[in-house]
Amino acid sequence: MSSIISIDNISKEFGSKKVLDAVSFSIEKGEIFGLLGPNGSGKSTLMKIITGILNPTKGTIYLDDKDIKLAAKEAKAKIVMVPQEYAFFSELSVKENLDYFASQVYASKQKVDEALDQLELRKFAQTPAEYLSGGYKRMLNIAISLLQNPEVIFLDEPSVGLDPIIRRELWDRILEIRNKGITLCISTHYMEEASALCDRVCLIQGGKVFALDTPDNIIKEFADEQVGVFTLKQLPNEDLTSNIARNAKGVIASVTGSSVVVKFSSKNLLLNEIVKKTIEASGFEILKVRIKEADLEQAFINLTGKQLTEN
Amino acid sequence: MISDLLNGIKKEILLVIRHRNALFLVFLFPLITIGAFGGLYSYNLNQSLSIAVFVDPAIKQISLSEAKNEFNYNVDFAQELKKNKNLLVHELNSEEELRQKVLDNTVDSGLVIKKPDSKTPYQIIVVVDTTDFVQSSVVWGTLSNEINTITTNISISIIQKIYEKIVSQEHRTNQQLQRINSFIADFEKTKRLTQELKEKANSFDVNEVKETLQQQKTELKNIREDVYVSEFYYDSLISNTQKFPGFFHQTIIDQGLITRDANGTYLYSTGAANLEAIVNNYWIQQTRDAELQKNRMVKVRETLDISIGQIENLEQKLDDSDIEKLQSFVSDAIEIQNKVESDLLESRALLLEVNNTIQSIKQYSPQFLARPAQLEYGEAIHLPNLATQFFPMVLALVIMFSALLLTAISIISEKKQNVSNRLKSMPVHKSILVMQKLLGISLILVIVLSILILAGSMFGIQLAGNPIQILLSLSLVIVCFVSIGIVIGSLTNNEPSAILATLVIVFPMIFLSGLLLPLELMPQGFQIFKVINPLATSATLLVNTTIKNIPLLYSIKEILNLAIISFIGIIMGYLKYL
Repeated sequence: MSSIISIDNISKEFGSKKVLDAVSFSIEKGEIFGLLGPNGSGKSTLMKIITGILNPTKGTIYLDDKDIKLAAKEAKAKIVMVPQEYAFFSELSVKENLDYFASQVYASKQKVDEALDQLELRKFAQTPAEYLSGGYKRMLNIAISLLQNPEVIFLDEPSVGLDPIIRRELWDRILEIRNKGITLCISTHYMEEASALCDRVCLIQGGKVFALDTPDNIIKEFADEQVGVFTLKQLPNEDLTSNIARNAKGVIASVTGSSVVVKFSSKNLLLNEIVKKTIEASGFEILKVRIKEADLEQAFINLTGKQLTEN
Repeated sequence: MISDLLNGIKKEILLVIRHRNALFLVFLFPLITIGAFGGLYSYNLNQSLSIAVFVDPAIKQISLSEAKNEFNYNVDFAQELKKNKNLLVHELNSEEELRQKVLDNTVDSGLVIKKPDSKTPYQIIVVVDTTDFVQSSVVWGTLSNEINTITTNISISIIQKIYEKIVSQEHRTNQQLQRINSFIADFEKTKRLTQELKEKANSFDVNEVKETLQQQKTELKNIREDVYVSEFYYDSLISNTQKFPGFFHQTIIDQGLITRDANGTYLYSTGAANLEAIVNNYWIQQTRDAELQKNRMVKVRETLDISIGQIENLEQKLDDSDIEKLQSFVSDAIEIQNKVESDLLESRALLLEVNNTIQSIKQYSPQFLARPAQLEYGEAIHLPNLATQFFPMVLALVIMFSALLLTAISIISEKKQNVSNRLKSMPVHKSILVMQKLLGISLILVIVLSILILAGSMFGIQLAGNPIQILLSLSLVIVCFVSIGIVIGSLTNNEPSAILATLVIVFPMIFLSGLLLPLELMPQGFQIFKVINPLATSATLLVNTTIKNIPLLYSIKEILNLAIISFIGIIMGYLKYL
């Protein structure tokens, strides 16, 4: 695959605040690229710079090896931004919104019909946009971006605030769009969304890129441990954690309320059994055991020391 | 390009129709403003004014104590004012009560009529509430006109009497003229007799000559009798004409047509000075002429006495041998006769001149003499009511508020709905978006305001302007304010700041538009606001096209001003939009 968009050393400052710090990466043609990071990490700013809404303080962005500043018209035609917020006229119906935006980009009526069908908006065509549910408002947001026949679509936090069912439906639509050969870049702070949709993920925090690879590779490389949470009937003490550390070499144990939290390498699953036996041997009764698999969020925490979501 | 422009305009129309606030700004606000304005001010311009009148009781007492004469004229101001159907006159008993009623707006204004003493003419004070600038002007204009009518009526009444007196002289002058003509005819006989004497002077019969002399003497005595009557007539004329100017002067003082200031200088009301000058000139000339005539008659009589004496002397001494004496007498008689004839002819010429003067005065009516120049309130264009008169200003204000707020809020709404950001990232021309906004909102306002103008007739607003011209000027004014609205909307990010920015622009525009106070009252430098202020320019253009119906060509200055402001607004809007 060849890269369609190359970001070279992009920095952005708002006054004295540095929001992006020398960010560089490429987006390959036809892939779903994920920008994963918590709120305020610089994802949306980066997207706005790529789509021409904001200008970078430093750095260059290339579209098909062309500087988008020099090929602004072409870039605007090929790159579309779907903002996190709803970006349409709430007083107009779905069809009226699509008709208006279609006329602005000289799209045909057929294109409007395709967008209505593709995002399953046909049944709401005459409904004023303000009366659509959150999920369909997102669909309309995306439908408008499809009108100009883009090569790359930037989706800023597409599923934020949506319930799980609608979120899955939205993911299906996004995958359908990718199947049509359109490159997608999704910014999200949902680890599952990035894992489910993205071919490659860029972990970003504080305006800096911490990792860029496939989700699996990132997990393998930066989250190679499991976490076991043993909920006990009695309150655990420090002797118990000392016993665990002594019997299971390489395990770090700590006490959180009535639970003992242990971290150990995912490659050594036997340690899990050793910890269990040590707790029982120390006279404690285990009520529940939960083993948390390694994931992108863990990788993110390991890499940045911060969590993806606030809770 | 046309299709995206049209779609943009359609979008603007749909957004206004579906947005409650926008609908209020575009339709309800103008409808309520124009409806309320038309409903309140569509009454006739000649609406009644309530006037409190206080007449100083001293006026009546003085009037009663004044000696009656043929020129006396007492006026009841309250009754005279009541003749005007548009004035509701309330007679009050004190000046204090009157001033209080003007202050608490029980009446529109007050009229205090005083006359402190018999030598001081009427003093009329118009009391107005100066806090109400417009009403004060209306009241002042109406009452000035009314007082002027009343005083003119006094003048007409006095002049009527003077006129009758002057014209009555015509009969007497004609009598005198007839008498002089009879002198001249009679004198012809004397002349003929003298001529006979001259012919007989060289060889005459004494008895025949004596008979001729006797006849001559009788003729001369008859003439002398007539001359006596004339002398008496001129004496009586001189006596009358000498008294009249002083008498007339006192009369017009008594009627309040002449006042005196603190230094005792006479202050004449309009027309009174001219009237007195006419009267004085006429009567002084009359006196002078009468004296001349009288002197002439005295001379004629003295000459006749000499002639009669000479005839009597000759009769006593005449005998056949007195040829020389007779010749000398005839020669003297011819000389005297020539002199008398000359005096009589001059006297007749003078009487003819007096008669001509009377004829020329008769050409004018007393009304004409009292009011030689009539001041009238002339309307270049008739406006049926105040609502129509002030409608263009109201229209300009409505357009200003609707266009500025609607455009600014429309742009803010697009920003709030992130449509601006979306459009910014799309391959669209900013110029097209600006034009969509400009034309879309302008079209809505043009349609709505055109309907409102048509509906204005229901509120009593009657516009005489050419519909196409009204539409064009309305469109230009709307485009101008919409372009300013684009600038406001582009520079602000939320509704409160857009409203604040609108107010910051609107208030100076209103203050410096001349709508509240005339710009002419401001220093010269500030009068530039008349030109650069779009509200002032719009009001002028709309006045020209909606009610004056002046061709657009004559409003080229206003059109250019608005076009330039629109152009600047569009350019600034283009630079700051999105």
